[in-house]
Amino acid sequence: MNLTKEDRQSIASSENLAGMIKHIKAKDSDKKEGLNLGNIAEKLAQRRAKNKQEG
Amino acid sequence: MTEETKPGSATAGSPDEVIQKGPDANSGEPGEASQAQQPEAGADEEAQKSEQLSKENEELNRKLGVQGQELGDYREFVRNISPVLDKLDEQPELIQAIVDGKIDSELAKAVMEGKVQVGEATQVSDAHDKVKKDMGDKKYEKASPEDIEQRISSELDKHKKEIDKKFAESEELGEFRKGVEGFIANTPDFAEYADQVTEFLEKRPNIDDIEVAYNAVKGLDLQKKSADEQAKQAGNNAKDLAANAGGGASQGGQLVDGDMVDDLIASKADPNL
Repeated sequence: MNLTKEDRQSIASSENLAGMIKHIKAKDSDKKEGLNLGNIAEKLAQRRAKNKQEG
Repeated sequence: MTEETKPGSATAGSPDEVIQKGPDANSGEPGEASQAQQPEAGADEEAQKSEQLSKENEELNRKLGVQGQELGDYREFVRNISPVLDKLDEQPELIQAIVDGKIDSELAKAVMEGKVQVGEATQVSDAHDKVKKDMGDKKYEKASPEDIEQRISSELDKHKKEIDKKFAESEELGEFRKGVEGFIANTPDFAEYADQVTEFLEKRPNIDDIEVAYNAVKGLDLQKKSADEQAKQAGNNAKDLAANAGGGASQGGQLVDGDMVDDLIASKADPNL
């Protein structure tokens, strides 16, 4: 999906971006404070990369 | 110099003046009072209009200022958001994952920074949801972040094979998509045939190679163009042939008048008579 300049402006100005932010905020509020899912995902990615490298 | 009262001037309709020059209610001369009041009433009205215009002008200027500020804020917002939009542009799966409610701010950050793939982020999110559901709200509330992280890791390990398989498929799909995008990017006239290629692929679900579809569509199109060109050329040739045809002797005959029949056909049955 290649967004044109008009699409970008539309996203920025319309409810799309606001909707996405709302989803992210809802997900943030749905989890334990102090729990960093980004770190867990990073560990998973590193493990996958290592496994792939080892064949 | 006499001081004239100009209608429309700000002072002309001042309340004090109206009071000073106003008709005496007890004078008993209503006609005279009315005549004196008319220009002053007009001046008062003009002053009110002027004041109203001034207020409206002030209000418009204020609104213009507010709108200018909003426009400035909006432009800055778009400028700031552009890098994020660039990332989203490159990763439609991320938009889908966000809309599906699978991504929180840390996962979004990790994906944006290229540390993890969208698939990894959604797997972690799914594992977290499962852990939370299995624990129940109360237990989840009481648990420490470390404990929950441990449970999520265990959950991910439990489905490691399944996850790895999904990733392999996802990577394969990603490579396939990259291949398609690369072919489109490196084929200058692809846009010309894009609609026909789409139609071609829709009609033939067993074909998934974009290059095959493109070549087929282009080949058919070129064949058609060639046939059209040949037909056009044949038409032109026929026209040329007709135009170049040499003129021979006139085939036109003389006009025959009615007497010629009588000249050629004898009036007697036996010509020897």
